[in-house]
Amino acid sequence: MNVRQLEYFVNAAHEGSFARAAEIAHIGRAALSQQIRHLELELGVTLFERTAHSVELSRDGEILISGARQVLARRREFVEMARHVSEGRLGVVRVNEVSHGLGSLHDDVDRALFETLPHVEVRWSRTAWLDPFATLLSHAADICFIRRSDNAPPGVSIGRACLAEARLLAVSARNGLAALDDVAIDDLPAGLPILGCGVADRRGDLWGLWPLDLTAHRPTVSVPDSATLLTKVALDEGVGLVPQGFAADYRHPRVVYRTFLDAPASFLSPVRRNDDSDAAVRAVLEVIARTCSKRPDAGGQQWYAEARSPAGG
Amino acid sequence: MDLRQIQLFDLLAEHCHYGRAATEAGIAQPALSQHILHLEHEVRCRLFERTASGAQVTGAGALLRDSARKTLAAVADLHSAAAGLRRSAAGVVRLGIPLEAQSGVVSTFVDALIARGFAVETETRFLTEEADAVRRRAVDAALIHLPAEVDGLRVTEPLAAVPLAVLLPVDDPHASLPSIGLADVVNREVVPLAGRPASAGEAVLTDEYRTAGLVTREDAERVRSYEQLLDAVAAGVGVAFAPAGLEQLMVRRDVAYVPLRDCDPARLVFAWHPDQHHLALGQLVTVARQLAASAMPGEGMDRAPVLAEVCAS
Repeated sequence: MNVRQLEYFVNAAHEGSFARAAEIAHIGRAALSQQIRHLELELGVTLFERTAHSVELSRDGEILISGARQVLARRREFVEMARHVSEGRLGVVRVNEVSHGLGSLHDDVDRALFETLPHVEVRWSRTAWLDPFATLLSHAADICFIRRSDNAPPGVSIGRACLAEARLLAVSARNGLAALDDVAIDDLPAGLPILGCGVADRRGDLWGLWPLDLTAHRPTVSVPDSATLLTKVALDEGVGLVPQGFAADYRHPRVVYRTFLDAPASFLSPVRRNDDSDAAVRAVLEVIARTCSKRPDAGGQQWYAEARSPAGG
Repeated sequence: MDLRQIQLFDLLAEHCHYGRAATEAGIAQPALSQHILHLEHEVRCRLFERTASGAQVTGAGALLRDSARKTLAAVADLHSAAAGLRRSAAGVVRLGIPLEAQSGVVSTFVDALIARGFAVETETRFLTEEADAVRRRAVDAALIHLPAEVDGLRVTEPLAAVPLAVLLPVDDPHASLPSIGLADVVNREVVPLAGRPASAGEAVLTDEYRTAGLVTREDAERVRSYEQLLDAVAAGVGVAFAPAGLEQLMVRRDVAYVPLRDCDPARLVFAWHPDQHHLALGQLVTVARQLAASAMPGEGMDRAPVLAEVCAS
C-alpha cells in the first residue's frame, strides 16, 4: 500500500470516475485503474463497482474510504511536522524545576536540549516545592519535577527518578546538634519536631521512602513552603530533613546543615500531564531521561529501587 | 515520502540498530540506510546519530516519531478494517475471549454462533488489551472484563461475574490463607500493568485498591502478558490481581492464587465497535443479549447502576 494508491482511491471515489481522477493525477486512466486494482488485491476486497460508464464505491469501499482518508491525513501531518522541525519552528515547552532547582543536572539537561533539540524552545521556571501537580494541571507548565511521592492526583503521571540527592539535616545554629559533624536519628532530642512540607497528610517525599515510620518516632509539623521551614528551623522550633539542592539554595545565618546518617537519598522525578500528547514535551522528556542515564550518578533509579525494597531499607 | 519510509524510520527508532531493524523489515542493511538517508534528505534534518553500536534517534527524530506512529497506526487500522470485511464475506467471526474464561459462558456463546453457521476464530489477549483490540478492530467483537476503559465501544449487560484472586509469591505469609481481604494486603505494592493508564487492568485492579492503600509501582517494568505478571509476582515486584479462573490455566509452583473476598467480581460483557460492519454482528449481539438475560444475578452483580450507565452510553 502506498500513498499514491490511497490518493487514487479517494479521488476516484470523489469524482465517481477513473478518467477524471487520472486527469487530476496527470496519469493515464489505465495506470490509475491498475494501481487501484493493486490496492484491492492487497486489501482483499473490491473497492469499486465498475460499470461501462462510471465507477461507484462498493459497500466495502464505502466502509474503507474513511480509513484511507485517515492514513492520508496522518501522513500529511507527518510531512507538515517534518517541515516544522527542519525549519526550526516547534513549540515551546515550559519546564518547571522544584524550588531549589535541579542542581548540576540543570546544566547538563540544558546543554543536551540545546544540542539535540534546537527546534524546541525550552523555558525554565521555578516554584515552591510540592506545587508541581497544581502547576501542571493549571497548564502553567508542561513538565515539572517532584521529590518522589506516590500520591499523584489523577491526570498526571510521574516518570522514573532521574536524580538522587543526599539528604541533610537543617538545624538551628544554637541547637546542640550543630556541634556534631553528622547526626543520627537517635541523636535527635525526643521533643524536637521534624518539619516538612505536607507532612500532615503524608504527602512529603520523605514519607514514601522512609524505611522507618518516622511519625511513630518523632512529632512532625507541617509547613507550607521552604521559606517557612527555614525560618522555623532558625528559631529552633524543629529540624528539617532536606535534599542537598535545598541546602545549596537556601541559606540563613542561623541555620546550619549537617550530614544526616539515617535518611535515604531524595529522588527527583519528572511529572507530566497524562493527556499531553505534544511531541515536543515527549522529546524533552526523552532528552532528560537520556541525559540522566549518562551521568556518573545515573544510579538514581537503582538507588531508588533499593531504597524502596525491604532489603535496601 | 511514502508509508514505507515512515515505517522504516519507526523501526530503526525502535531498534536503535541498523542490522536488527533491517532484519525485521526484511530488507538488507544498506537498503535500510539508503531509505533513511533519503528520508533525512527529504525532511532536511538528521533523524539518527550513527554510533558505534547502532543508531540513536536525534531530538528531531524524537519529535517526528509520534507523528510517524500515528500514521502507521492509521495504516494498521485500514488493514484491520479490510481484514474484517474479508472475514465478514467468508462468514468468519474473529472473537476476542478472555484467557481464563475458555469454558462456561464462552463455550455456550461460541456454540451458539457455530449453530448459526459462522466459523469462529478466537484469540485471547492480556487484560489491559482486551478492549483495545475491539477498538482497533483486531477482533470483530470480544468478551471483555469490566470495569475497563470502554470509551467509544458498545457493551451489553454482564454475561457472567468473574471472581478475582490476589497473586502472591508462594512464600508470602498470606499465601496459605483460604481467602484474603483488601485489608490483608494494605500498603503493598501492585505490579504495574502495561496499557493506557485507565485501561482494563489498571481500572479493575488498582483504582479501587488505591483507596485501600495499595500503590502501583512506578519504577518496575510494566507487564504486558499473564506470563510476565506471574514472573513479576514470583520475583517479589509486588502483588497482582487477576481473574481467579487463571489458576486452572497458569499453574506455577512459586505463585499462590488466594481468592479475594471483599471486592466486587469483575464482569464479563460482550463489546463491539460502533463502526463494526461485520455481517454477523447483529446475530452476535442477539446471542450475547440472550446470554446476559439468562445470567444469574450473582454476588456482586448488584452494582447495576454503574453498569447501566456504561450500557446507556
